[in-house]
Amino acid sequence: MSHFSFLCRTKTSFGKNALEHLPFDLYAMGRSKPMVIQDKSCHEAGMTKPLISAFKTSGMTLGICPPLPETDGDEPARIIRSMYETYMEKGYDALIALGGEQAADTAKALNIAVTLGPEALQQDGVVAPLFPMVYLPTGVKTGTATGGRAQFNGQTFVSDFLAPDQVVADPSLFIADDRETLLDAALTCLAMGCEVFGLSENPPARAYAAAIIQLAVHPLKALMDSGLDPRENLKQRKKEEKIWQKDLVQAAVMTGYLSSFPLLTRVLGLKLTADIRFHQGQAMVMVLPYILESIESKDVGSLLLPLAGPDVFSQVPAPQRPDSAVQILRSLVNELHLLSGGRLPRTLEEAGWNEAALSAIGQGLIKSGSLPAGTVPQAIEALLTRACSGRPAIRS
Amino acid sequence: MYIPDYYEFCCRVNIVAGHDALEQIPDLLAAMDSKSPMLLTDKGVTAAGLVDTVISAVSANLNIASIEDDVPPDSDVKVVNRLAAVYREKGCDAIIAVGGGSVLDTAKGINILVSENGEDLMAFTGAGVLKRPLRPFIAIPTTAGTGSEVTQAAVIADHDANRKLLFGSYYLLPDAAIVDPRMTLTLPPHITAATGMDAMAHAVESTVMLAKNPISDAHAYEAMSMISRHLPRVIKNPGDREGRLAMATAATMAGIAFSNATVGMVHALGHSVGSVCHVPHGTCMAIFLPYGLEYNHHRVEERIADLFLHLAGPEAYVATPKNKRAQASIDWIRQFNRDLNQATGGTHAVCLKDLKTREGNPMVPREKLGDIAATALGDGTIFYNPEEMDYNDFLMVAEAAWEGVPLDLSKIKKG
Amino acid sequence: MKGITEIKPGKRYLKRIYLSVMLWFTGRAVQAAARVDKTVGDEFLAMPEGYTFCLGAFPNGPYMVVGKDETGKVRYLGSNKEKQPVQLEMGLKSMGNLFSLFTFQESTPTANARDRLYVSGDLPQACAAVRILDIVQVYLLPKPVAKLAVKRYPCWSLKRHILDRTIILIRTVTGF
Repeated sequence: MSHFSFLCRTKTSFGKNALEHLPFDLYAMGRSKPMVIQDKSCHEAGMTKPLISAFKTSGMTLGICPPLPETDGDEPARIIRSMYETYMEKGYDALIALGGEQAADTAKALNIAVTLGPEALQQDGVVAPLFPMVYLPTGVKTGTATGGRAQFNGQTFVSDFLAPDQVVADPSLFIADDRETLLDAALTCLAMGCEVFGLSENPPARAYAAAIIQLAVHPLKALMDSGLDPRENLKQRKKEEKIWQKDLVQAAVMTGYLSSFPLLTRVLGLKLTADIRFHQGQAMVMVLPYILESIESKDVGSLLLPLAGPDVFSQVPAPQRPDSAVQILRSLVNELHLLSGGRLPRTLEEAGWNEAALSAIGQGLIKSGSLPAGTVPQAIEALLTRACSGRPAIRS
Repeated sequence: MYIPDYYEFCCRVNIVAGHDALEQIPDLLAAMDSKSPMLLTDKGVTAAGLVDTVISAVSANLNIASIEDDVPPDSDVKVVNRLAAVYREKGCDAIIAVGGGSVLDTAKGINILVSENGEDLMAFTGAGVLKRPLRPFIAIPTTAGTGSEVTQAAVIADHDANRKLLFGSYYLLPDAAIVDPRMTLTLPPHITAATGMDAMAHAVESTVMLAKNPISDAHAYEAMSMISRHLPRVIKNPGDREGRLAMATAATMAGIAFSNATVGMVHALGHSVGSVCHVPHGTCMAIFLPYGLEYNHHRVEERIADLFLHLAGPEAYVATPKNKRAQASIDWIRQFNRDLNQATGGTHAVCLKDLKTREGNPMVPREKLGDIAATALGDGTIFYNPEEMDYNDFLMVAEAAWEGVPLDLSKIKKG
Repeated sequence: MKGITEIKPGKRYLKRIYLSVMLWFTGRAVQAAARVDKTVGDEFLAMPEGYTFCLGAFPNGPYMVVGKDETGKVRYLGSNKEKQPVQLEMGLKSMGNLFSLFTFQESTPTANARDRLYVSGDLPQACAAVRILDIVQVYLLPKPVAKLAVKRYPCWSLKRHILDRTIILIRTVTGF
């Protein structure tokens, strides 16, 4: 361990009746009149109902905005302007974002405007604390909602101050996610968690990563055991999916906290699924073993503990642990290929990539400087080449 | 993995760790628009040369407005009020606190008064009183440690009224915690051992308490593993910088764990012994830790068994049958204490009766055990203990800890 | 902004009524237990003169207020915590959480572990108040329910379980 730093500004509240705490927590932040920004799916599912119910007897007033449209163009800017005027005129003093990334990003952008002034939205950085903002996830697709990042109106804002003050994940707000979405979320969380745990050498980040991996692995295994596309016992299946969703929302929320970490799995996952359509989580888990093989770290072996549990970790001799951990990830990808009847690829070649195109990606990443610090540029092309055909690294 | 029906977790402290962490302070303060911090510490820290280390690391880029080093071993309301006035007089705009629990708690108290323009700290006790961020505050722990650099509580004594005031709010958390091994390099072995066991107690207790959660557990297990590996090394070789950094990091991680999952009877008894007999906190933790696990064993055996891998390592884990791992965890901690006792030439005590003053008198006379048990009844940490405790329970544990013998498990009331 | 709906969420009338009744019983039972049960009496004896504490739901109750008068007698002081100075406030963060407690969905230790509770006041007295309330719950509730409410169901003498319980229940209802 040389040096590290870690900051997570967000308080996590998770579980049964989490919403009941929200009025008290807002009171503790000196706030009593939050504006609620919701995305379309929340409105359709009636998710403001449990929220309003939680505020009964609180004496607080909620301002519920109409659901965000799914359109592009100058609509976001117009909506923010309108929200800003209402916020200032009616004296709102906090923001609640209900839904996915769109609601969170809109709330973050609005928060910049109401705290620092609308002109701050034209600048790149956010350099001062913002007013309190609470994020209420409604499913596993939280993305960077819980992190210090916001995409709004073609601009990307990055700052620790953008992270929500609190995430309140109450299962009464969860809208059912289908199996494919749950699978993608589990794979995304697993990939990012493993990269942070195995390679970051940052103990607080590793702690979050350990929790993420364990929260993702169990529902993932259960989902795979149950089948990717079951046709029978649908009622039972829905019940199981609800249970898995609870664990995966936690994992997804925490993965968002780590979104400020420069992760090769995410960088590559985005690139690999930009032109060829397959799930980002799948792409990330596919390249992860090659990344772990490429980068020297004494912690790769310790990955076996959150991945496979204490019994497996303890029985494997220390020098074998890195390979065991990597093999678990490879086996996972291979098993998904079998369970999906060959639909889910095992290698980048099966996904539709060729070495030339991958080499271009590697070169592009090296030139753009968007590789995580410390990544050896030559290693990128080599690992992408191996991931193309599925060839493991040869250990000397 | 244990996932409670509901849990909360928060640590919004920027943890900055490394061999050059102190040098990051000017940039951290600049990012908070601060230019004239007050440096708060105590005489012991100054005498150890640590204040000089901090100043030489930051002085090229930072002008310290005031250095105040008369914080007493037990934080006091009058001291807080006086230093808040100094902060205002000197035009300070931040606090850098260098020290242990008392310095950090005093800093938190001062920060309340100067941020809220208050004169009387009493007005800020109670839940939900602080409603907005306080002024910039950087914590530099000088032991590994209390974990106070990542806790949202402060305990400040009102000696005139003979009471302790408890302040609790997320706003009391420092903006940054500087984890730099230079701050603990000169810690003598017996203090290294005691403070290391304080951190171990935080990590261990937090994983068996009622409020444990996945994130606090992850922090605690990482901490335990680091402490078990590095504490013996740094006692043997105090100049081991990597070991010191690992210990300091582990103590902060353990602080994060217990701050979010709380602690239990080990701390209830430890606080009492500290209060009644003035025994250092870490020493109390080391002595009571195995008893805390024994007493709660019938309630949380599986959680105690889960500790074993992180304490003893994979080889010992494999060699121990599953149904024996809980007891093995307890035995490991007892043996660890004995090893520390040996490594410190007998100064790290393993039972209360071995604690002696400089003059050779017992620090914890047997007659005081009743007072200790009575005082423990008023400690809020017992709410989080898995098993109930009344006066007789506390007395039974205190007596066993005095003698240094394991608890008679048949005498533990199970309801 | 067109379409923003301002809502001041209303009240929870039924829950409030239920909780008011339960807190009334509890307050009166504390008063009765202080006179009948030695342990409860001793806990109150150790509290300062005039010490008053309350239990309720943030932000507007309902509450139960109990205190020692100038003669040292323990009295249930009603449901309005604003009527007298209160040295210790123990609360659940919402009426919903208080309802979970008083419908035994969550025990006091569980509610505490789940951060449902807050305390304003001296911790030693809060510990004493919780011990008092635990004993009162054992008196008021049938064993299977009381076991859900407290951490450890106590082993009491037959006299305490039967005779003292009967007297406390009578005093709770009659107010003596």
